[in-house]
Amino acid sequence: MAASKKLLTPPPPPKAKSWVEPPLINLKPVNWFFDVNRAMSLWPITFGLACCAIEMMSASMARFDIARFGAEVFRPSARQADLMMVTGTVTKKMAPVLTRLYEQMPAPKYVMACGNCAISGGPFKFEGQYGVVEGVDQLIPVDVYVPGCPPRPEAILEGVFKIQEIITGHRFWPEPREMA
Amino acid sequence: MSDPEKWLANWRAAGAWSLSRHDLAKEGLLASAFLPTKAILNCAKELKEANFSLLDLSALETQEGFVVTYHFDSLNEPGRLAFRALVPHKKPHLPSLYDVFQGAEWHERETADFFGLIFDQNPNLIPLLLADDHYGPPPLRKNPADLAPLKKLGLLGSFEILDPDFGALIGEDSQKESQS
Ligand code: SF4
Repeated sequence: MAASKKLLTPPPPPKAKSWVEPPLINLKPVNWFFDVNRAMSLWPITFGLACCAIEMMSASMARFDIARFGAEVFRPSARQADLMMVTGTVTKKMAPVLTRLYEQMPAPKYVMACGNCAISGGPFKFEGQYGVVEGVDQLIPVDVYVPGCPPRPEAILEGVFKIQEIITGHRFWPEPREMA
Repeated sequence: MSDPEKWLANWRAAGAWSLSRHDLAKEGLLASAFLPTKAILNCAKELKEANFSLLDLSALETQEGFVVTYHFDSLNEPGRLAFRALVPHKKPHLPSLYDVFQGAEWHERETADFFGLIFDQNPNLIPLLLADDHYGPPPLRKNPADLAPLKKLGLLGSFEILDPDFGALIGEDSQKESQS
């Protein structure tokens, strides 16, 4: 029993400092240049949590081809990623892992909450539920919400466009005709 | 096809409260028994020696206590076996099958998570699916007023009651064909 007690109480977190370095050359055109580069090569972290992850995979495969927009390099390590697509149900068991991975990502970093589960708990939000975090924005800041259960791959692509828009202030791709 | 009579004889010798013969095609089981908790470990050992493996372990809450079901199957010959145990609310202790089937550890941790059963000798009885800091009673415990009596559960297959006290509990007196 003593051993399990030890496992149950996590060690105190180490003291961490976080900061964002100011740009080397703080000129508007230079920053814009870097921002466009950043927006056109988003590296998402592989972070599928439930059924929505299938749509993320689908978006990254040949048919929907997220590579056209520069976001196809799914990284298995948080340290190499700058976009976290939270695709699926965030359980309380997973919450510490999620925050940890988010904190390991180097800034500037962006979060996309894909699917109703990640947005608000989705179908798992009901009275007396005990295992699901009702919305990933309770844990980490979210930039773009992509609703749906699951969202279609086009919606996920649209979410990527929105993040590119957040980074550069400009939408690079034509609006789909139905949406315009 | 493994011989159900052999196992029924074994369980009878182990002091089973009731024995049932089932129709494999209809109920997916060859034979089952209600065993006293102290006989579980030995019966599992016998099954392990005959090359059976543990399929699953689950619990159900009734007014009289938890009905814990163990399912076994053999990869060598068709025929599924099951035994059940009745664990009282006041002392929800069961022997762990960890020494016999190592994989039972996770099933037991899951059952402990959701019902608060305590598996003695399980080397690592910490939450498996629930968060470590889960607060409150085990989530699948019911309101005492909502619990169904054991009588409602009944026994399946053609069964015989060996322990009259248990017969009174489950509302059957002697040997009888059940309707299902
Ligand atoms: S939003 Fe729907 S599809 Fe997505 S993870 Fe939740 S239940 Fe699954």
